[in-house]
Amino acid sequence: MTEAMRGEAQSLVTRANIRQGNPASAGRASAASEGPAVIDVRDLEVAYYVYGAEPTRALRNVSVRLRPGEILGLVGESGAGKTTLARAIMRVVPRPGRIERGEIFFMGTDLGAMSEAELSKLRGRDLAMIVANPRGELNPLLRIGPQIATIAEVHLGVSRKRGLEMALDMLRAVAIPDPERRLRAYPHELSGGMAQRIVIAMALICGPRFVISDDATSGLDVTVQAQVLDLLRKLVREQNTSMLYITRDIGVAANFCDRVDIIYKGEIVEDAPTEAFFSGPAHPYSNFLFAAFSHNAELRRRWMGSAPSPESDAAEALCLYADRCVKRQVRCLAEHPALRELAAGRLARCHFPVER
Amino acid sequence: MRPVPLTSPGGPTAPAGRRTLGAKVKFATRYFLRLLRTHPSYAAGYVIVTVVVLVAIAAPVIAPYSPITADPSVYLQSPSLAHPFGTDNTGMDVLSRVIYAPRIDLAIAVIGTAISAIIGTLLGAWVGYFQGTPGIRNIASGTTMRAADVLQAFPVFVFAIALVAVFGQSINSVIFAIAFVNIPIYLRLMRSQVLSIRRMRYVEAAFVSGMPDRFIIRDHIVPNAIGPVLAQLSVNIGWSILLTAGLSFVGAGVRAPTPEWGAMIATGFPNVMTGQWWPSVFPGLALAVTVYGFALIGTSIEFMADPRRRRTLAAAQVSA
Repeated sequence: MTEAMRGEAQSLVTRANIRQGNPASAGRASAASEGPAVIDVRDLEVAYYVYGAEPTRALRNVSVRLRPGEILGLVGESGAGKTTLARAIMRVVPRPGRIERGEIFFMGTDLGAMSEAELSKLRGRDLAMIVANPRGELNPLLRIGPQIATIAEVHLGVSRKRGLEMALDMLRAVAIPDPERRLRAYPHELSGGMAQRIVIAMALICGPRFVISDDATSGLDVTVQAQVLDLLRKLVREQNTSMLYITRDIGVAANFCDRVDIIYKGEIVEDAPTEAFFSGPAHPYSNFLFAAFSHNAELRRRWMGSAPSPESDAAEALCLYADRCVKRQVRCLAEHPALRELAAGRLARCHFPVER
Repeated sequence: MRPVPLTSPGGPTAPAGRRTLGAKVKFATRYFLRLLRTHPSYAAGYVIVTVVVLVAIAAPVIAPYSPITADPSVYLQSPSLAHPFGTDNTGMDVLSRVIYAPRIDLAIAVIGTAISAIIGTLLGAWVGYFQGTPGIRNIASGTTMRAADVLQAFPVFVFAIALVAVFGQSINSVIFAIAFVNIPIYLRLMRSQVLSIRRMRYVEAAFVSGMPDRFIIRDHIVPNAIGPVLAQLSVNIGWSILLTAGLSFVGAGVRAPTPEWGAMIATGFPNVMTGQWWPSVFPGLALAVTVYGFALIGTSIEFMADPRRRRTLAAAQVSA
């Protein structure tokens, strides 16, 4: 890795920290304490069956592990399979998608072996999901309070009165001004940032073990995004919840996550602790993502490969990034690289990982 | 149209704090009056229906004569002070009969519509929600829809006549016929609504947060899908009155001496040819106005069931 590159990476981390007003990265290692995996995805394959065409493979051999309290950032471009992974974990892959292979364990139990009834007991209670465009997630005809309270009522068996008290507590926790009044508001009376907080409150009211945030803050402007992220991190740390944080913004991932996974064409191409990752990404695609966020034109030019070719699914024998890669060599077109360990806790799927 | 400000400070949005029942009633009343003021045609609808209902209730007090007593000495008299709407060919007072008729017409229409709406809506919500999901419920919902197709393949009127013919000519049969022919309408309306509502992100969000199907249907599907059904309800009461009158007109509904608009039009019809228009025209007018009134109410209910449109009303008030 060049000096310029390293400087750029460092400044990105710093910039993100300044933006968040939070230099703390010391707490991360301890928060992600050792323990059994909360979510353990093994060799997951999901394909979309489109009529009259070869099935599109959205996820290939994806393995992801999250320890209690860990925040894992999943970064990738549109269509990389981020949302498919999130929905596969919740076991709500939209049709015509199908889980072809692989297992998803939650606290040691296989979600694939569970009935729909057992799953719906887990969903919302132990597994929660926060998505972008929160206003669409709220029923326009119901007041906020009852909408939040119902989740507690269903999963925790509490009364409506207790449910509303819990909802009020959650609104306080997500820092909504005048929570008593907002409890009686309709969704159309909320701003985007407020709606996002409401959706977070709904996801966290039962104290889930695992939360997926699927691009949850992308619709918000930067200042509100920073507030929501701070809040999210605080709540997740308090409840010792694990979180899969899906984003396209590598800067947010730098500040927010304990570990970062880069996903490309349905494959995890790099998996590294945040600090290590941002002091030197190993995969050329990671470097490309990095450069794309950089203000350094020279850096951008260096990593900007050729335009992606139309996806050729049959080409199992080559590296999926080969068509765009600036470091491409003959071997990349002949052999599909495996995800291999470069250093302790650092994995990359590349024949020629970028040296530091 | 007045310019509508984007925000509505001071409009009738939900005020802060918990409200007492009295305050709620007061708020609702103020809101309702505002609706009528901004939409005079809705007000006309409510006035018409209220008058018809009151007249039906107070019929024995207002009606100058008995509705079923014939006085052959005054048959086919033109409208006069003694008989403002004239008399029919058996000498019964047309005004009294017009006044008594909504007792029968409204009761049949309201009960018939209510039965069909309840059954059709529940069935429609169920069918729409489970259609396309794998398993027995998909087959059941498909079967229900095909059954509705078969029912709707018959012309409504002919079908109703057939039902009354099978079950015998009585008021109960007419109610049953009206309920039966209307069920597919609500079923279809509700199903089509549910099919789009169930794709809404909040329905999916509810599913992903582990809500059981019955909660999703109760909290998210039905309230969001019910608006057009409520609007349809009032319009449908109007149709049902027409259908009742139509059945009676062709002799398949309520029998002659009982005061009923359709039967009255039928009785008076031959005399229209010879110039005695009043035994048919007055019940016909009453019928038309009543149906129109219900249609207007239907539109206003649709308006009120939608909080987003309600909001425009609040905004209009502020700018007023």
